[in-house]
Amino acid sequence: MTIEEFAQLLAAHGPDIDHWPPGTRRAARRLRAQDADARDLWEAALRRWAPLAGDGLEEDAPGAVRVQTGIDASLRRIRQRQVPAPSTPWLSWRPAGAVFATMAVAGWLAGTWLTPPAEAAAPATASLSTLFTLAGVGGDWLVQ
Amino acid sequence: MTGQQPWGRLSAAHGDDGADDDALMARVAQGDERALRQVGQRHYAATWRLAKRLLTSEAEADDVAQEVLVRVWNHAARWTPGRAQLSTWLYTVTYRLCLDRLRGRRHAPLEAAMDVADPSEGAAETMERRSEQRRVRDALASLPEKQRAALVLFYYQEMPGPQASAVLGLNLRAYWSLLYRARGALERALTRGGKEPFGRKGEP
Repeated sequence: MTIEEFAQLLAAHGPDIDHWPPGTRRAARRLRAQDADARDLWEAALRRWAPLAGDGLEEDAPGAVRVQTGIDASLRRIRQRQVPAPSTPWLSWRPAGAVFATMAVAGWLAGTWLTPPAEAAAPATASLSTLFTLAGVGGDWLVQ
Repeated sequence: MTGQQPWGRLSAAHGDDGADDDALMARVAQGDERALRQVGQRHYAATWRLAKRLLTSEAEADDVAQEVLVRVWNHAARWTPGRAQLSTWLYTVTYRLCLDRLRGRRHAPLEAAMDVADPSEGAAETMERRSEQRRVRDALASLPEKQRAALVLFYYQEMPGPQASAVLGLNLRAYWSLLYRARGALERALTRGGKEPFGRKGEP
């Protein structure tokens, strides 16, 4: 079927292909599915054939003010929903902190291993008692 | 592609620099609010009209059209140029948002209930015309959501079948079939409402 034949049948029988002559229906449907021009013709006929009665909303387009107000409201919504990411500056110090902590632990271990034992006979609480005495805490009660 | 589709009846925009929709979306993805405003100037009216037709409420149409622009902002980074028309995507988002509202609706909107004729017009024919319009609107509102959307996209938004079927997530053949069923349902609803049907029923 050619596009001209399709157009003639459309003009003669309307867009309801079920009401076209039986021998033409299959070819007409195939052409409509494959040919954009045929489809446009058919859709235009469909719009003319059954024009939906006006429902009073044709002129009901939003005015320029409504459009502008709507766009402004959209931008407000966008800004309201954009919650700023939590500030976490301490995260940037994490690597440096890890290095410092490792060095501190390593230094303490080295000091512990390399320092010779002070007085083997000294009681275990002697150093604490000395520390408390020096600090004025009064740690005599610790030494029984 | 400039976004100026004849079936969208898009509004002429002031401040529109003529950039195509894909270029605008790229700018929106970079956080350019002026680009978003341009998208709004081009497409807001069309999405508002579709929402108004489907929801029959101006307030809800405002809400949906604004939400569509928010979606544009949020999804701009994922927009693939040339893959689809922006207007088709916007209609799809609008349709889905409306569908969600229609499914969640329990009562008719108050706004529709308060939509009474302006007594100052006075003329009998004005009242009759409004009554006729009301019948068509009521008949349209009584249809299932998909049928209503098929009619609105084709007859009111004047959208070609391929785009309308994409919006509804159907293939073209299924869309035409839906459109025919919707027309038949609308004819029956209008007949019940006392209005003469406008055409013959049948399948395409």
